[in-house]
Amino acid sequence: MRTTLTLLTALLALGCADTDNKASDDDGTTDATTADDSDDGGEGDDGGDDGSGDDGSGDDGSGDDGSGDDGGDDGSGDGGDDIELSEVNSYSTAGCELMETEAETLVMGASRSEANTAVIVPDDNTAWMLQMPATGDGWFTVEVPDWMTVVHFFTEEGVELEIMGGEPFSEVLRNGACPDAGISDQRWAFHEWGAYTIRVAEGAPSEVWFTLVKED
Amino acid sequence: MWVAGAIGCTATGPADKTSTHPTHRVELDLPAHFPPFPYALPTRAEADLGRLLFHDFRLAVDDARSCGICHEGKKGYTDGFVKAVGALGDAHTRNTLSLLNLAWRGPLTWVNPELTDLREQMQVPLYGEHPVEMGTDPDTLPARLANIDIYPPAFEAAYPDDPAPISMENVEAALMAYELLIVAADTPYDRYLQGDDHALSSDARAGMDLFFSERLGCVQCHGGVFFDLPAELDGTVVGEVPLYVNIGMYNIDGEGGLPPEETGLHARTGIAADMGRFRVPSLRGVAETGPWGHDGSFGALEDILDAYARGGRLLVGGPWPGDGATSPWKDARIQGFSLTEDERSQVVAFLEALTDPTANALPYLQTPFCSDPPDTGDTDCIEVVE
Repeated sequence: MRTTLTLLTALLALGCADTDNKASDDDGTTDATTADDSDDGGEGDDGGDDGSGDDGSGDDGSGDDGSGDDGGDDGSGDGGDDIELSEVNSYSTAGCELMETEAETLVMGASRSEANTAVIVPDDNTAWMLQMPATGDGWFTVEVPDWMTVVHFFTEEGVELEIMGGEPFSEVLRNGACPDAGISDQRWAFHEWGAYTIRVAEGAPSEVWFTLVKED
Repeated sequence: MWVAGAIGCTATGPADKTSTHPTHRVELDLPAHFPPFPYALPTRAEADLGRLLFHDFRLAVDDARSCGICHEGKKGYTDGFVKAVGALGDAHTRNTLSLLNLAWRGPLTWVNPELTDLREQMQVPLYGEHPVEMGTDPDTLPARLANIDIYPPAFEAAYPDDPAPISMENVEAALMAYELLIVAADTPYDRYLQGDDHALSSDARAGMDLFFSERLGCVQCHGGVFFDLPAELDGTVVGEVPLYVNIGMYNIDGEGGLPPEETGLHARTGIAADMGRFRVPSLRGVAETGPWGHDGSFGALEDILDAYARGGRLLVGGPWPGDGATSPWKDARIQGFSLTEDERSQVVAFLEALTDPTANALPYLQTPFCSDPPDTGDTDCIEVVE
């Protein structure tokens, strides 16, 4: 664990540099939107990674080939087919494989105050079919059970997730392990274990496939 | 309030005035409005050993947990989870309770009025298998501790009359000694009670007046020094043990049901009227112990106040929708009240004034180890080596 901590501390330090351009809400949250989202002011997504150049060195711990962090596609505005592919590795592959499992249904809360009634504890073996409320955003909570950890969030492309807390550790990418499946792959770093609220933006399908895989 | 004692770290302030001799007993300086400390105070050596053990990940299976990581000082000695997650990833069914002021706690859990012995209770997180919390192996831990250089002298100092001091019995005793010293008695509210008129902000004072008002009636359940005993509206405590109350959090299918994984006293008694009844928790440190409720389903103090104000919580979405206000098992004291947004903020300000900033900041309560989170940044810490 301590080796992991040291490594992740270094990674997170670099990752934080990446986040300087991200939009932060008043409550300290940071938007993680899909590439075709452009209604949040833009500063969070369209400049996301400015290609400051040092990302590659920070990604070696997870074998990242840098495809998402090299300052290439800024992911803004275009949506659709120009989303970059995430690296094919055990995590992105796991995300694809979980599409073949029977997803558990989770009815999301209808407001932020209801998020803690719909809780996911990641186990790397379960996928969920998130049911949106009749109107408005959907809300749920993910319990991240480790310190200094990176989690891959996989969901349907076009679905906007706002992960409250943590640090974005990649752009929203297309899962490179199954690029035709229409699944996004975004990595988030969490300095601290605990409960993290997630908002699924209104406009998502009534049922949204979702899973997450924690990096070792 | 201060306690003498320190391993590795240098205590500052009043603690420096006390003896550091390992056989001398720790001293507590409690405010006059606090009840007497109900246990024999431990020796410094025993408390210091407890501090080591409390923060040592090696007590848990796979070195995955310490007591202190799930009862973290800056989180009011809770873990920040909605519901706890065990060392092996097991999802628990209840929110982690704070360790603040355990010495006066009485019933120690959400649902078992009979579990009042701390030694007995700690065996649940240490050795429990359904679910696994720490996954401590009592058969192998003493031998392992005997091979870690810091422990033999610490056990010998703590239990000098015991010819074989490194035992699970003494592990539990030392943990208990340490945990009992986690005291929150120096809050702004305490200072106000002791005559410091400036200890509470104007909002907190207004919130205090609301808290003790007939309109809100909070003290009916949250009375007494620890805000967990039933009291009259004038503040007079009328019971010696906390209540178990259904506050109208759920009303599944309109029949007052709760999520089946946790139904409160009902799960123990089978009595329908016990559905959803959980122990009234202390409010000392409450602002730091979120999320709240027996299942952590309240994400903000404001949400709790809103639920009380409407006489029960309304859940529109989520897995368990329903109107708790119409639950047939809701406590009669939960009748709702009017509360403006400003007033709500004032009550929250008062609740925040129940936090003792020293309870998580005193060096003798911090992890003595260097690298385990939360990192204290202390340079006088113990490297984890075996």
